[in-house]
Amino acid sequence: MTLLNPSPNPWILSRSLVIILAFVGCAKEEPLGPDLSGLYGELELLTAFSNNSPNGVHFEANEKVEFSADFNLEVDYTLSLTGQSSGAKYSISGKGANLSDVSWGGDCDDVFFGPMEWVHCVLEFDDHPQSTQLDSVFVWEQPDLSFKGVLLTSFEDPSAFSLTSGDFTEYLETVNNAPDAVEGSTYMTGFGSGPATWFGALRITMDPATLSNITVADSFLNLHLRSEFEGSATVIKVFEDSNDDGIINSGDDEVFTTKVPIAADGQWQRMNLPLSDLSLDLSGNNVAVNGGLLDLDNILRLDITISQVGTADGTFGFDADYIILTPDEPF
Amino acid sequence: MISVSRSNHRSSPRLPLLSLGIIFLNSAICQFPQFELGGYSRGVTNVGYLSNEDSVSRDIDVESHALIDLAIRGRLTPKAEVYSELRLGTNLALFDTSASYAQLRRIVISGQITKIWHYEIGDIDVSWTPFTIWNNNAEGNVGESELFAQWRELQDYENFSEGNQWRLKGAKFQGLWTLGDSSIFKISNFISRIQASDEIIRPEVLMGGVEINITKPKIDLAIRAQDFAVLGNTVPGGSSLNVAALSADFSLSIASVLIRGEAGGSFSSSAANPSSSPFDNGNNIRGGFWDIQGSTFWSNKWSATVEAHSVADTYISPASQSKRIRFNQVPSSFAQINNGNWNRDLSQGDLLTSSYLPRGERPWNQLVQRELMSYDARYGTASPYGKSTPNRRGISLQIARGSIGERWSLKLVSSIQQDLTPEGVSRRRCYTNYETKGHFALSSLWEGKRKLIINGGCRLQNVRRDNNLIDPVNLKTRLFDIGGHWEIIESISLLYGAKFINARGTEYLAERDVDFVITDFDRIVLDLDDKIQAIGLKWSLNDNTQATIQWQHWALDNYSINQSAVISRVLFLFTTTF
Amino acid sequence: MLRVPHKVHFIKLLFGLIFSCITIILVGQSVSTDSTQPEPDKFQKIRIGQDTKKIPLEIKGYYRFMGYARKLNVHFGDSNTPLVIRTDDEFNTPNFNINILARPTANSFVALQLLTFDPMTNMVDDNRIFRLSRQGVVLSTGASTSKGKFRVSFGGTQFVELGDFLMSSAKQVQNSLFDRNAWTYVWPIAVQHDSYYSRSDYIREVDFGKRQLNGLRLQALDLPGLIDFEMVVGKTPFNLPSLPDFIMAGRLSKQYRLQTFHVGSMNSRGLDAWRNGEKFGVNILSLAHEGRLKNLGVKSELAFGKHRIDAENSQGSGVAFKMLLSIPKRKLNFPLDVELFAVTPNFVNLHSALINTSVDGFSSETSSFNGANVQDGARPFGAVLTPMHLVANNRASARFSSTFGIGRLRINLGYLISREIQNLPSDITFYHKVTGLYMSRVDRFQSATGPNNAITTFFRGAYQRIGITSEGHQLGIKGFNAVRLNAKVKGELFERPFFIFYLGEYLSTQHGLSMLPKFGDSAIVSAQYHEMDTYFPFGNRCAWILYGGLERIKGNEFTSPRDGLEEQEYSYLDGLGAALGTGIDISMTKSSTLFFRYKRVDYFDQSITSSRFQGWESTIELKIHF
Repeated sequence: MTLLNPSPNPWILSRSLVIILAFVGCAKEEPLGPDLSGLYGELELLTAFSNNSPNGVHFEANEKVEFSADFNLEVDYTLSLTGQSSGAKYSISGKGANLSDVSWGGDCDDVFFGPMEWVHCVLEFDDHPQSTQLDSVFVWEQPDLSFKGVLLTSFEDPSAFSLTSGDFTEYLETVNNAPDAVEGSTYMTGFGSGPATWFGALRITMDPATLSNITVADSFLNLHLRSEFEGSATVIKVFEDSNDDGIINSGDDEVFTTKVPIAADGQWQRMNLPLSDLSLDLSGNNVAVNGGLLDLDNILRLDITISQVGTADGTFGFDADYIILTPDEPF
Repeated sequence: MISVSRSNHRSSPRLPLLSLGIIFLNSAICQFPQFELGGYSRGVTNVGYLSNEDSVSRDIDVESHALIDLAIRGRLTPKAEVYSELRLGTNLALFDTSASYAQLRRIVISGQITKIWHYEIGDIDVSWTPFTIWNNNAEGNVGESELFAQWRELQDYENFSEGNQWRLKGAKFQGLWTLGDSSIFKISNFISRIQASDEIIRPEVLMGGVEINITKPKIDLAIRAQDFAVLGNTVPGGSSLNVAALSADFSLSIASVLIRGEAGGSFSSSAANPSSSPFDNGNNIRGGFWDIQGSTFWSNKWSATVEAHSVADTYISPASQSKRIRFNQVPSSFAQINNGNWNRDLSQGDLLTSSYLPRGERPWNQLVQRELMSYDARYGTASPYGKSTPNRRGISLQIARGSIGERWSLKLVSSIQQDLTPEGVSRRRCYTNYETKGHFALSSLWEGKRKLIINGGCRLQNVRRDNNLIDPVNLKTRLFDIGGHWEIIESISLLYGAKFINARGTEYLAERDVDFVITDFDRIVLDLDDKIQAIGLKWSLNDNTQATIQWQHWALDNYSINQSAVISRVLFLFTTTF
Repeated sequence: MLRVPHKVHFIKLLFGLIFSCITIILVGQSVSTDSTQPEPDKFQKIRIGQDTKKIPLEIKGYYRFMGYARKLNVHFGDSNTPLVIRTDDEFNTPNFNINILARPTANSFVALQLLTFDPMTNMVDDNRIFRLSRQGVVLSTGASTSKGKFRVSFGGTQFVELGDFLMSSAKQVQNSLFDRNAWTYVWPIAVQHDSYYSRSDYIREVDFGKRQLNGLRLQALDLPGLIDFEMVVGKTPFNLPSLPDFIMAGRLSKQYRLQTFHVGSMNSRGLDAWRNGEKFGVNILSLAHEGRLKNLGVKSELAFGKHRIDAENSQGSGVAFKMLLSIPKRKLNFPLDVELFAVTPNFVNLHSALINTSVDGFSSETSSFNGANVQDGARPFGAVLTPMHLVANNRASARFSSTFGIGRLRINLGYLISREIQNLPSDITFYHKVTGLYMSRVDRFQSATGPNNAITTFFRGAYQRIGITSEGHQLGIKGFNAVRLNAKVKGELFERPFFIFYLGEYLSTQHGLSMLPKFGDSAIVSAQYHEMDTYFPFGNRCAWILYGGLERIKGNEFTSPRDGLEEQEYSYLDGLGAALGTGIDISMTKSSTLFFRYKRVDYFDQSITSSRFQGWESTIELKIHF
């Protein structure tokens, strides 16, 4: 086609037609946009909310509680479990049209679920607050979650640890037959007063052989602490046997440390400390020997000391229970 | 007569332009330059009253102005003509001369470069077809009374939206060849700047197009290509967004039947994944449309048209989907009433009487934009963006007879549309639309000399979609218009008009992002009435000069939030053109 | 196979455009582009925009350049005042003012008035003004039918007169011709003075006697039965600009033989706030008659008015009456105009020429309307020493005026007796007729300036207030007298006429009615103004002008005492003002002239040491009418 002979060239026309037809959309069957029923539909439970343990769950037998319910829509849900005696809490969230994959093996947020207690289960929905469902399950035994990592101590076995007092220590003992222990019935308690930063320590001997799947980069040191003394903190110290002589020599062996403050609200808190937070301690006589990196194959002892955030003159202390190392993720 | 034209390069072109026009106005000494004048002048007083119960909002709203839009056309050389519209206006509430303003409304240089090629540079008007480049009419009118129509005309004039054209800043070139067998070949190009970049976050937006048209006695063929480009490299870190469209249409006239078909599509890069490669199919958005209609005429007055069309949900066409009204704006007067309890939406009365200020807040839109603008569901959700509303297919039947100058006229339209692709659920919405419009000259019954004409129309639209899990879609919208015109004595007429808009039901309005992907649904439940009644007197000296005074009564009820209001207005409009 | 890219890029379009342009240039070479070629007829008829055609326009206007310089030696006691140089006389006056009248049809027109003004500050800031002038945009249309002439006009500003008590403005017929303003016309040498000498009149401003209106005006004239009807709806400058306040007025006139009867009404109302505003307004009904009874010319008007301000809970109603009897010369050997006025204290109408001295809700003293200002600029309030040409409320007056000639001397004599109807507590107000123009340029639009904040300046004028002591007030109602003498002499010098005009006015107020004006201390306040204009043309192109003015204002012991000079402990109002000026008019063509004026002004009130006001101003003006 030229300007001097402007009759339409069929070749260009047909090509244009092909291109046009290629664009013309045909009807699709798959609906556009988000699911309307999920946004605006009324929630109905097709099967009632229930669990597979009507007679209670035996965690000792490695049983798990499996919850079930079926909904008419895909919804966001949250299942909250509350122990009626221990006060333990746990929640599971998800999205779906049923609860097919939701199971509970005894996990908890802070305090462990206790033996012989009722656990209330509340199923709530973000978009449908009126459709909350309730159920309960009986827990026969306290769940044993030590399989999640390397349990250092839960204070049930007195040989696993030792307690060391100092000049400023006023009290440092284990409490037995305690119903408010995190796990079991024993926990440690200690406090001291004065313008110091060391009021006593819990000492745990470490055996590198047990730490095969623990790495510094990914693993966590998890402990449960409770304090009522404002300004309390704990200093975690890990001692290496750098010179392989089986004892800790200040000035010859590396020490790694970190200080963690504790909120003084009188409630058990779980602290998940990444091992990578431990840094080389160069205070006092301490030195860097093997490059200044924590080497778990040389690890000899773990100290959990009672300390304070600053250097004020006051009373500081806390309770401790259930100390465990977990390999990949926090407890 | 002495003229003063001190040239100061910083002063606007207004004074020299006016002086130039006046100096050479009646010059007959040389053939060029030659000047002609025309104009449109208008006086308006608009007073609104709110009922007394409200003690928080303003009770009265007054606007009064007189202006003249002087159209100056100058043939500067045989190949260049300048056309400009100079507005001089004054706010009549004040007496000092600072109440006046001068503004250049339009300036275009045009001319014939050769016998074949014509160009225009400046403020150009562009329109193609309803699927490609089209400025859709504002909602809320089906054969309305003259009392409302004259205000709608005023608003359209202020908005530069006369007809269905977009007013753009750019240039147009058109070449026209006439061939021996009375066929015409035409090429038009245009390029325009939609938005200037501020070099920080707002990128430059350009739009251009080419239309090739071949007209033979019985056949008409056209191919169009356009591009709407957001240039990302005009802002630091910006990304480009481009919508290109290609379409073709033909029309064929066989005996008394006219067949017209159009098809095309758009191809757009995606804002979510601005891809560097044009061949990356996954990231590009494609959508198309087709439309075919057949019309037939008989008895010299009757016509019937059958039409079918389909538009994909990803068909992006900024210049035909942009709306003339910005429904997310608040009314310019009495926006918050009932002691601050009701933040009103725009009602028809607000749209018709929205204030004119040289730079004021008006809900009328002049900007072509890619994103789909918000719309008001009370006017129906079948075609909020006109014929190119995405995700629709349907058929319609129209029967019409007569035109305005005759004794009576009637137009009946019924159409059924459906979602092309379901939205949100697996069923499709079904839209049915019935529309009637007509007029009748009652005075012809008794052969009266004084005209008495009744006109009106009604539009009923239903959209339905049943569903078990959620509230079904069942929105019914109604629009009734009625008007009367009685010539009391020669050149003075009594006019009446009423407009009744009613919407009830539930709908789920889709919210689309800039890539036309539906991201959410907004569930609305409407139960409202919007009624306007008006009565007025009009004095028309001749076709060019009219003065009308009318009193309007608005009754606004929104039953779903339990709010009602009554607003009355007195409107005076005086126009004269020359 | 042509591979069309998936993405139609912007550059491809541009390429298409460029290609088209190149083709145009190549193909277009063969067409000649000489401007003498006639318009080719095969061109596409593409018409952009509105229809335009050659339509006749009437363009009139003027060009005026003004240079103004002023130096005050003492400004109310302050001698540290600068020399002021401007390109206007302190009130924005256009450099270029044009009236454009377009007639789209035989019966309608659009009138436009544009102005531009350049203060010539510097080349960097563009302070030049270009806008619509006072008369703005007026759209008008009408029809002439056998039943009458109908006209509708809308816009602003229009000028309307509907009777003295409805809508009008004051007409000052006797005045000095020395000072010019922006709208003064341009005549050849001696023409204006000649007209003033013979008839006390010349081409006046367009609003002379009329009230400005923005809005709608309907006129139906020559209706059957010799009836005329006029109605206006809109705003005048005396409606509050920032509030919803408007005026609606109309008048019906009927002619019967030699008499004309008018019935009119005016309704000015508004709200004093945009939210929950309360109403205020004025309603007037007026009946008027104009015509001849035997040989007497009679013009009379009776009006009933009601005003109210709801927010203050104030309302009142009043009556206004005026009658003018024009006795022709043959009865008394000289023509005599006798005018009687009586306006009760509660009659107020800001849109008319009436001075409001008694209703303080509608004055510039008002505290109503939530702080909005009543535009009361040129109108003082209180016991005003009204000059001969002004009428005030709360007065009953009789006014006599006559014109006679003795040889080359023409004399216009006027006499006014007036008394208050109610003795209302207020200050006495008097104008500064001779020094007021200069004062209003120095302190523009001030409502309380000068010593003791007693002076108010308005557009081209100033007035001052002085208090009355309580004893003075208790003495009862006051009477006012005024005498005015305008003597005009035309002589001949070197075959050209010369003119000497004298305009003197004596105003006084005292307790009780007095047939003759009181002088000295028996008048509470007395004011006399003397102005002398001389005009000496030289040839046809040039004229020399001299001006002298004197104003003397005195108050007696019933005026509030002030701190006087050291010699006297108290002193009462004792002001003396003088102005001396000269000028030259050089006429270039019949409608363009160069004017030069120089004036020295001096005012001093012995009772206030800080009242000294002394300075000079000079202007050079080139005005060209077309």
